Amino acid sequence: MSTTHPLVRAYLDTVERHTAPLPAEHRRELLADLAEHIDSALADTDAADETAVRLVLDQLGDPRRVADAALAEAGQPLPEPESPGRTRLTVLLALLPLPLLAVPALGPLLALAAAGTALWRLWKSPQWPRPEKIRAALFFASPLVVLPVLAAAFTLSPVGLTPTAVLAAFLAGFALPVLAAVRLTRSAARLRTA
Amino acid sequence: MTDHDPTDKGGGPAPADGAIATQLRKGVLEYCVLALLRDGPRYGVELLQELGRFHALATSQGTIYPLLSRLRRAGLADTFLRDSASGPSRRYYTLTAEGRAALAEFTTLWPAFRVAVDHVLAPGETP
Repeated sequence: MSTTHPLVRAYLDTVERHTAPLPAEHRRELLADLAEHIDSALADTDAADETAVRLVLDQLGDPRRVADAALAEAGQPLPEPESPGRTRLTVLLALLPLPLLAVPALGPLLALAAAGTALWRLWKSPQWPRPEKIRAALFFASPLVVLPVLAAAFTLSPVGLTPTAVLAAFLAGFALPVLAAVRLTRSAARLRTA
Repeated sequence: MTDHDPTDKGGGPAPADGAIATQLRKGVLEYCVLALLRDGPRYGVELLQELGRFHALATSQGTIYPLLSRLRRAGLADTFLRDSASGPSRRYYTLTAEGRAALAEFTTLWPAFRVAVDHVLAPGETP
């Protein structure tokens, strides 16, 4: 199979990366169509050497353009990159609520404000496809579930709800939001450099 | 049509990959694809080779697959697999009755459209 050729892999990977907003089935079909085209075009040539592979990929065209065409056909808006500064602010605001809870008195209010602003910015941003936004929002909101569950677990356990246990629960609750922040930052950077 | 060879690869005065050419292609390419399937099923690579003979219609090959996929979802084209002597089995594209009807409609509308545009573009002829 030509799809195991590193150049072909890289080509299909690029198309795959840039078609994240497509429904999974459309995306699978597009990748299968392209792989099949490559196989079939190579079968039509005499030798499936590096030069032939390059020629076939060259004729297929820039993988970004293919991805953009697929997004346009599916009626999906093309993702547009935002500046690193805007991205950082969105991600930072999304991470703030948990630490803000530690602020005396005003904490919950500040946390709510930061969370609301972050979600608004995340939702309005043109640089992430909707499925990615929903996943990130769920990860950012996860402490709402994780913290009470851990607190209950510690209370019931022989350890009890010691200060160390509270700190551990906070750190554990922070894991998913941090993961979401890293992933959003990465995909934003990839879009900018693409 | 003019008496130019439509397969002329020399290229006209304007590049076929500019914004205007892309915009123009957008509206007609799918009907050209339907037309190429009129006389029988073709597999992807074959269809693209055929399309590639026409300089004005040529686009990067990969962008045709999303189009073919939309035509299939819209019920204008269908696909089936057929074994090939020289390699993996191939996906053939074929016209459905709906596809044929869409092509017939486009074929009826196109001459008037072409004439109107030619007329408007011709110097001194705009009313």
